[in-house]
Amino acid sequence: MSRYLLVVPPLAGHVNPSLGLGQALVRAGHEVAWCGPELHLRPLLGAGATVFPTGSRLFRPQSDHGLAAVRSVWDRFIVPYARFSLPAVDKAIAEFRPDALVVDQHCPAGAIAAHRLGLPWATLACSTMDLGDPLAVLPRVHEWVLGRVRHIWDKAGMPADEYFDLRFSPHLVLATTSRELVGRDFPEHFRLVGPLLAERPDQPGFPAGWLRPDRRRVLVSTGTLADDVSARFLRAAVAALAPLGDRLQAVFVAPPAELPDLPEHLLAQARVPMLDLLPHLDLVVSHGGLNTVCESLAHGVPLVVAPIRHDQPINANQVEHAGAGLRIGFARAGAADIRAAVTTVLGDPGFRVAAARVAESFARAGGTGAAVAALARLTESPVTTGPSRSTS
Amino acid sequence: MALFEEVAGILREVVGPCGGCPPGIAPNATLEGDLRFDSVDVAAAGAALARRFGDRVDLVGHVSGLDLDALTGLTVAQVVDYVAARAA
Repeated sequence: MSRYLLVVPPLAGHVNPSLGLGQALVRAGHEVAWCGPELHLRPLLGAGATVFPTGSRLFRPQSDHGLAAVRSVWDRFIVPYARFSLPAVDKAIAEFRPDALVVDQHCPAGAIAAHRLGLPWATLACSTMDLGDPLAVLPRVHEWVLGRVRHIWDKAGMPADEYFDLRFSPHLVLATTSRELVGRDFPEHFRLVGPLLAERPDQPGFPAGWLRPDRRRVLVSTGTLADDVSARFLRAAVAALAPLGDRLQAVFVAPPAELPDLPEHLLAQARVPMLDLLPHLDLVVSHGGLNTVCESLAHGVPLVVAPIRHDQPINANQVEHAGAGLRIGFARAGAADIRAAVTTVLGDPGFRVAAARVAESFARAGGTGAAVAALARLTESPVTTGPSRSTS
Repeated sequence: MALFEEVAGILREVVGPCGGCPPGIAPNATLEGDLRFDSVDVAAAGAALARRFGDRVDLVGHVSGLDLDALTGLTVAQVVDYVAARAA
């Protein structure tokens, strides 16, 4: 039995995989606690989870896209959150006395705390933005990102000669994708385990009788955004699917008030029980967050991806490359573009076959079982890099 | 001005009908912020510019050498200047 502390950011796409991992660790007889903003974590983790709170503070909403979003996620979120949460992570370690930490890739505070105490720790990558450094094609942007990582290290008062890239644990990097989907190889200590699916607490209901057996089923989700571009896309998607009532039904993950007067075959619901719905779906239209992409593909459901920011364009390209869906422009796709993409994917069984192939690659990757086994090996073997003050 | 119109026409082609809202390709419009270009759009525009102005015009290569500020602030006028310098 070991104790694991999971350090996570207040983002559903990152907390959900950590919940899948946490549940699997508990099933294997281990003890688990989370460290993060309790206000955001509690509804996702449920009443039973142990949470060491970092406190909450308002981070400016991110409405940027493209490379401006790379800047804002680091300057407005990753860097301030690392500085803000470091004392709370230290306190959580002192109280919980974990044998190892699992640190979300965008929570470098956990990496610093673990390194300082010589504790074994693993990176949990729930995004492809910092996996295999896709920004390397823009060397000066890549350099800028590394500068932000170094800034976090320096501001924490860490010794210059021990600096390392905090996005990657030197011991173990767990990533919620598969080699087949990413399309390249990684160093020995990377484990691409596929999606870490969880039993989620407090799932919303869904009108069970609504889905008809004689219709194809589409789900449209653009994540938790509420900016004007997102509203435009949703309205375009409604216009795209409105004339297709003779062949499909579609569920929009959006507040019903935002999409009034829907025809009978379209339904808007603010939250849906995603993992319960997926086995009944033929297509997911998504902005391409890795969580949604991998959950869909794990169920063999192909996608139409309209990427906005961060790793979403990368994920969209990977889906297209795998043959498991199509990419369309989020900001500009009109009703006709969306309708064309949806009817193409629904009309060609090849997309579903390719999605099933990715699902098989996820199954081979091992999911939560493989992640738990890798973490067990991590806690059993001695850590090679000792505490930072070991020479004194 | 003729060159501006020609480059703007190529960019307008990439931007497409914008879901019904015709995009204004003004000289000071930023590709990323105003025209909502993503990496696929940059590649498409680069290919179209190279077809028209020759292989010395390599927009993707040019963009890959820029830093974050220059990339997010890249305007239509700057693309025109780049094309003018390379195609000369």
